[in-house]
Amino acid sequence: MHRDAVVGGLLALLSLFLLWETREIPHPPLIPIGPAFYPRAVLSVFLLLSLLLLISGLRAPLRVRARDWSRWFSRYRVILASFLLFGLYVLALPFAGYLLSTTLFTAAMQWVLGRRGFRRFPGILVVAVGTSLGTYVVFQLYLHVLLPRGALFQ
Amino acid sequence: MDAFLNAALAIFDPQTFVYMGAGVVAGLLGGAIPGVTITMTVILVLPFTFGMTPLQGLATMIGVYVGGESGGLISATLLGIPGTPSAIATTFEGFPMARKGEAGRAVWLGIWASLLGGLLAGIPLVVGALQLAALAVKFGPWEYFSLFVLTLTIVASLSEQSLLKGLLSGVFGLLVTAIGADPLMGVARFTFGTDFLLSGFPFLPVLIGIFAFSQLMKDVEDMGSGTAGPLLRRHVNLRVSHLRVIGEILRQPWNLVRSTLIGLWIGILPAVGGSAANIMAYDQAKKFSKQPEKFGTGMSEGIIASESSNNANIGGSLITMMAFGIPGDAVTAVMLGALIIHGIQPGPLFVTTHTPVAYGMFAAYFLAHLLTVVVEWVLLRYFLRVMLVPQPILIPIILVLCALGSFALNNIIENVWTFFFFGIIGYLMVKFGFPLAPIILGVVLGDQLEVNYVRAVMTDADPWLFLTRPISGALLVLSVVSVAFALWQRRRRPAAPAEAEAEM
Repeated sequence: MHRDAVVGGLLALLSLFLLWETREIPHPPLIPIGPAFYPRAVLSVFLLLSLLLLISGLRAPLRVRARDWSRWFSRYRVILASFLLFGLYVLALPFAGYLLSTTLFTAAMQWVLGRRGFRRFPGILVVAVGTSLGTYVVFQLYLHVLLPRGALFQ
Repeated sequence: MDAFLNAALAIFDPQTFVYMGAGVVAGLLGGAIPGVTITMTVILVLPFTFGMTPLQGLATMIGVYVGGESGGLISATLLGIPGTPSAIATTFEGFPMARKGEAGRAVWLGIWASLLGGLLAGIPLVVGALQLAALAVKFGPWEYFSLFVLTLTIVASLSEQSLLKGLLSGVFGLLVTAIGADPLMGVARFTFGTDFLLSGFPFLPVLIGIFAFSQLMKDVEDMGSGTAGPLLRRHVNLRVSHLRVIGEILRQPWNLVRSTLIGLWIGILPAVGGSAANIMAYDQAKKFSKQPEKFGTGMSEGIIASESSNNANIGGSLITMMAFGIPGDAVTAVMLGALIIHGIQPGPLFVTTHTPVAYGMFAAYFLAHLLTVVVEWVLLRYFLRVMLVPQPILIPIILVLCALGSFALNNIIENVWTFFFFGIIGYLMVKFGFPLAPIILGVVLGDQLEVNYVRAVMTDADPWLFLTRPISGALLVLSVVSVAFALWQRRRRPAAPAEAEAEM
């Protein structure tokens, strides 16, 4: 089975779920087309297209090659770590505040991307502190963006 | 004409001029650094424009756009890596020419061709945007609805991957706009009890997420695989006789005009950008050349074709954006987002209701081209040093700046989550072979599509009007034709086997 079939199936399930959810949308009286019309129309097209993708995926030639998870992991390890790290960064922002979380994030991210080793440590630190301080000055002081101060420090 | 002169004067306001100059420098840098696209640079500049006047903000972005197209050619010729996808074809001839010791000629051929192509496309930009806007003002809701449908199907059928996935991507974009309060009555849809979703997903964080993450993560994937040949890193002699270079371009008038027209046309087509224009213009230049066998060894024709077309592409994209409120590519999609932030509704009424801004954009377009050449004249040597910032330093900084840009929109952390969420979606879409242009278009056009449909039906309940009104009907027929054509073309030339796709 081609992976398109899996994607098509999942998208079809998603559209079915959302179609079910449109029952919750109230219909104000006296108008010909309610707010539920547009989502339903779009979702019907989406469902149809997903099913077509599912079918074309099922008809596609079978892939014999077995999936090698360890190879897959070694290839996407850095990507997974980057996404994870960014998620942690956004989680940390309201608690640790902008300066601390950004410094930690830029330092950790450089490490994840392969700038590591004891001798590189000062360089990593300079970039991390420079990024967080530099952007802080520009955004908070010059552009007047209210950056998160962090619940920890209040 | 008076209006145009007034607008030109507004651009020469010292503050606006400085912002635009900064935009040009940022564009040149972003364009020159491999792995940073022009779209990304515009996204990074975006938060700085929130506090400016609408014209200043747009002039700055146009500066980035024009500067970026030129920046891409610097790394294409000197490093052999295109700084942006719109300079890919420049690499084919520019790098061999530079390696033969003619680095200065290669770079300046590109710079002057960019300028000439851009200026040539400026006239159709002004005339085309005004004429089309005048036409579009006469549109009723039926015509708008059909125009948006046509736009979506064109983009889906032009996507290099499967037509089905292109359509799915576009409809998914429409679905994103269905979340939140409906645009007519304000009734909540799919909010699942959250307050944040009541106003729908904010457009810019969605856009930033989809483009920035997919691009940056691709950079991460490519990091291991051999980087720049530092061949031309130091002591490059960029001296050249400018008169001779310009003369060389002007001796190929047909090449210049043909490539400019190609760029312009690709730009006008919604959501297809300079990355397609430069390759198409290069192919045509090769086809029409007297010495096609010499292509690949440093032919000036190739550089001129590629660079004039990608700048002309800006003009085309701006036409579609200014006349219809439809983004000609990702950069103009960001510009549309910025307009909305400033409370300006893009669309056919834009040119008539915001004439000073519109004319100012025309003036900015011309001026940005001239500024780009001046900046390159002065700073070219220094760009060489910045081009080689290591990716492990660049990527974290860009991610932080993107997060900041999303946050600064209205100072809430939910925007950063939106950016992250759509970053994951964008990356997965690329991995599973879905094109990104249609989803952006869907997100931009979704609300308008709904509003115009409902308006049409409320004005007259007869659904056949969509087909029987001549313009609306013609647009819908074209839309069916575009899908049918794409299907027919794929049947003739079967797509590459599934094995060739990226494995996930």
